[in-house]
Amino acid sequence: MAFSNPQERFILLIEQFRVSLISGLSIDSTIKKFSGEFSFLSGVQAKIGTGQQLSDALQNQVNEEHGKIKNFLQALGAGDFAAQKLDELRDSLLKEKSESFENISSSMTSKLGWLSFFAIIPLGVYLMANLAEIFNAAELGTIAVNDSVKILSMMVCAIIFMAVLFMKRVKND
Amino acid sequence: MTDISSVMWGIFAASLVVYIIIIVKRSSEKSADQSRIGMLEKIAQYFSASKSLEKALRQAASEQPDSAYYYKKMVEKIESGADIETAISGTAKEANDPFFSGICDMLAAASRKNDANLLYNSVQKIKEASGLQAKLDSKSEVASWTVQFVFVIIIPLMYYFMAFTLGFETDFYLNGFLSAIVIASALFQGIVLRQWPQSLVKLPLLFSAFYLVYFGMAPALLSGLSGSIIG
Repeated sequence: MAFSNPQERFILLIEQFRVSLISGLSIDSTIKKFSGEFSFLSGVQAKIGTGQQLSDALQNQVNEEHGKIKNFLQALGAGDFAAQKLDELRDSLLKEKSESFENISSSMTSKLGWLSFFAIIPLGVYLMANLAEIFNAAELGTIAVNDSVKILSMMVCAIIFMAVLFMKRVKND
Repeated sequence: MTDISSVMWGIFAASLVVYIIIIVKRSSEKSADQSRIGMLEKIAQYFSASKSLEKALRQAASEQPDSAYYYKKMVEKIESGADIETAISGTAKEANDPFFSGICDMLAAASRKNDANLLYNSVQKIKEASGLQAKLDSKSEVASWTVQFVFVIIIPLMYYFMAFTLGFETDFYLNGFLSAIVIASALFQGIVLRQWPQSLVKLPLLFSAFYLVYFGMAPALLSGLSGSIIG
């Protein structure tokens, strides 16, 4: 479905707010309209319901939020300049999206490199264990690479592998 | 072992079919979205030319009957006596579609302001966001396939052939390690890229592929190669 991605949907929300404000609708009525879909707007709506002024309700909600939602609420708090601030916020989100598109290749290449490195380390451990057996058999000395070393090294590598894999360096939302 | 192989082949085939269905469905949804945005852009152009949103809606509904179902509904409501804003909001409620509701807000705002440029500029921004998302999704898909191909096929095969070449046994610990990185690679798409449907279908697909390659294809290939060298 169109705009199922959260950031895409957020850009559509900004646009819905912007055009509604330009066309003469008030901020409170527009907030009320979208409060069913977005929890941060229902938060503002609930604060207005307790008797707070719109500006106070927005400011109190800003203190509870962060990131793009905080910027969005701050833009709404700009009063007559709200539409202009929303315009700027939408353009900055689009720019961010465009940059993440450009960065995705380089961040994936770097991720892939580190992942391969940690996936190949156990090969070295097996090689060492194999060499140790050869050394022992040839009576050239005893090198011990037992099962506990194998298990430990593979667990460490698997944990680092997953940490690198799941690190959110690829922005897609 | 043969039984497990048959089960793995079954899992592989079934998850491949489900994955293809998901991809085809997503692709048809994307193309429908593009056509909906294209339709809105046309309405903005017609609005700009005729200076009347109502005329623009009528023109769009008559020119593209297949993709203009909801706009036709709006026109029907206008013809039955509703004013344009009531017709737009009524159709938005009936459609029960967040994207179409978003479109309706823009149409209603453009109508109130009687400003075609307001609608046209908004459509351009929506088009830009949708285009960027489509590019990001396709690039993410390629990136995740690359990661999964490397860790499900290349690395396990490399381990198997290195074990044969260097003379060590592929034991339970190594198989466990490789299975863990295969599962992690499959979940990567869901956790990092938030593409959970593909990720959950890919988990059995990739795990069965890993099993068939690592425990089936690699030993068969190796024994074939050894046989031909000795022969």
